[in-house]
Amino acid sequence: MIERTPLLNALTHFLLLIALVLSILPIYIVFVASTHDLQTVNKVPMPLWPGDHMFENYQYVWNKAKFGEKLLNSLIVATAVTIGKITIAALSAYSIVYFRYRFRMFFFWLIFITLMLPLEVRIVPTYAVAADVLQPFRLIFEGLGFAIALPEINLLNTYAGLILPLVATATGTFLYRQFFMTIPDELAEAAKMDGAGPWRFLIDILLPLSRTNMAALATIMFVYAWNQYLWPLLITTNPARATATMYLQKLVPGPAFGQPPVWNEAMAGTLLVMAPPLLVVIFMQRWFVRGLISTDK
Amino acid sequence: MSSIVFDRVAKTYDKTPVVRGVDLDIKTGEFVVILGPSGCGKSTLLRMVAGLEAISGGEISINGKIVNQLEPRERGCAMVFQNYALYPHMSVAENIGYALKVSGVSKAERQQRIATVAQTVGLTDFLDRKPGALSGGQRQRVAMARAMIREPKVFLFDEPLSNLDAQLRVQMRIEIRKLHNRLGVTSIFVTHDQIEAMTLADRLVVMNAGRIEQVGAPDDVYRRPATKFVAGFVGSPSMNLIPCAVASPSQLRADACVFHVAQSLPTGQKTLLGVRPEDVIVCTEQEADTVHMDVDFIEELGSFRMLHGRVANGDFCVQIPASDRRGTGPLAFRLDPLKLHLFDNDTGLRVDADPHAIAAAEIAQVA
Repeated sequence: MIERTPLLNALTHFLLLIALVLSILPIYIVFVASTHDLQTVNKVPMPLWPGDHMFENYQYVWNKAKFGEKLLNSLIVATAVTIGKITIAALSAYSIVYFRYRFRMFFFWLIFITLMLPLEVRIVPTYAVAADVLQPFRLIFEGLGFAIALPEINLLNTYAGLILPLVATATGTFLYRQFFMTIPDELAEAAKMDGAGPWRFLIDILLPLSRTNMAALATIMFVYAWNQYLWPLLITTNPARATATMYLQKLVPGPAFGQPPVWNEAMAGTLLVMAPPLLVVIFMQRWFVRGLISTDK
Repeated sequence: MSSIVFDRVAKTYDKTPVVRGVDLDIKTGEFVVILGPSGCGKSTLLRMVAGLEAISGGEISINGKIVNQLEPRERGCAMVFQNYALYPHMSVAENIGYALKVSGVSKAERQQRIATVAQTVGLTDFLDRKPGALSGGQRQRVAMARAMIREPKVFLFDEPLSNLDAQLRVQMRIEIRKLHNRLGVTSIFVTHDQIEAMTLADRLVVMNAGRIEQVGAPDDVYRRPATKFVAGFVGSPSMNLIPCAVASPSQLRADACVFHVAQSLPTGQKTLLGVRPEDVIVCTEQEADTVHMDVDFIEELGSFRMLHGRVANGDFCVQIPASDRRGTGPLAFRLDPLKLHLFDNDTGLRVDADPHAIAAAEIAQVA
């Protein structure tokens, strides 16, 4: 529906403007707070114009929290989660849409149901498994009466431990499934006639066609993985494996108990941590929007 | 030598039979058109040859080898799809050459063969374009080129022209036939368009409800339809069919109308009398054995006119030349006994013998 009324246009723009201010203003305040010294920030009311302590604040925070290392950790985790999610989502959706086997729909629903079980809900068992990966198998074997000694694999404080529990995804599988179902069957048949097996069809035809979907999924998943707080907080005790997002909390408290929080440094850290996902979104935006709204090209 | 042999081929979807026992021999280099209404199983039959549908019963062999269990790529068939099924992200050249790429042909040879095939179908200037930037006819050509490049033993066409506009359809029809004359590859072409079928086929196979109704040269099928289904389906405008009873051995009666036939039939039998609109002879009231009809509607078709009316409580069409400017109202006509088609009303099979065959037999007896 396209309306062409000046009054409505003005109203729409007005609403958009309000929404823009509402979303930008907090970020602006964060920015302002990160440019003052501690005394100025804690004054009531806080000044609304940037101060002149910006560079020293950022430099201090960068060194204090070893953000170089933490951002690298975050980058490794977020990238690996993104790649892992896309791979698994594409493969599982490919299997569900293009292959006929028993219990196909059962598996689909099984994957679908995991949407209802986010990491926060299953965090205790997930932690138990991360602490001893083969424990479920050991329990099963014991229950069945086998005596098989399985090695203990501990993923606490490792990249694998940070990444693997975040990788499996129903959202991605679902997105891919919807996309694959819009691809005409004749394309698969033509590929069959051309002699392409299932792998070639996936790699030569399906994946190139789903580029925009992949970009959309990558953007969402990168931001999702980057923003993970609870899981890294739980699983890493070694600061060398900490991610930037979870380390932010270490910046807030004052130097000693009872002293005011160091908001200026915390806000500077926040902006530093926000920057990479922001860049990813800006860079991927063109693809991202197309991948989510278009059903064909 | 037979190139493709169907032996009691059947297809069932969840206990619903779609193809019910098809026997057919296709000779090497033959262009066979399978014609039938939608849902008659013709596409399913084609897809079973291609290997895209499992065969539920019977056997299909290609060049003497039973292919029931073979993968599509092992059967040596190439297929042209109704919606072309081009890979949208690949250029025309990549689309055409994909089969070669899959089978590991070197890049140099691939390019050379793509160039050759592209020239055959007139796509040389479009090799770098994406399918999205091509017209319907050009896409159709890409689909053809893609099928040709593998030098298949068999071409399969699944209603390839039905997405084109009328003019282009005629043009592509001629191109496909010329291509076949040049390459001489055994081809099966599935369509519901009888003009396509008549013009393209060496041999026409008419299918209905999963069975073959008639196999023959297009001209034979048109001249002597074997069943009442073929009589009604082949030919446009379609044949007039009037249910009659045999009144006396060479006379049929339907209500008040009496028709004379060239041969004797058992009295009392129910038959279906068929006559093509162009075989009706318009005459004057004074002539003997005339039938009367009230013309209530006239179709102007350019080269001829079609008079619509009712005879013996059924719709009836008479074709007259465009120069005959008569209007609606009473019309008298007679039927040439040699140009009538008689079918058993129950079995639908043709019951009259071929008058030419009878004549030939009489000549032989005299001699």
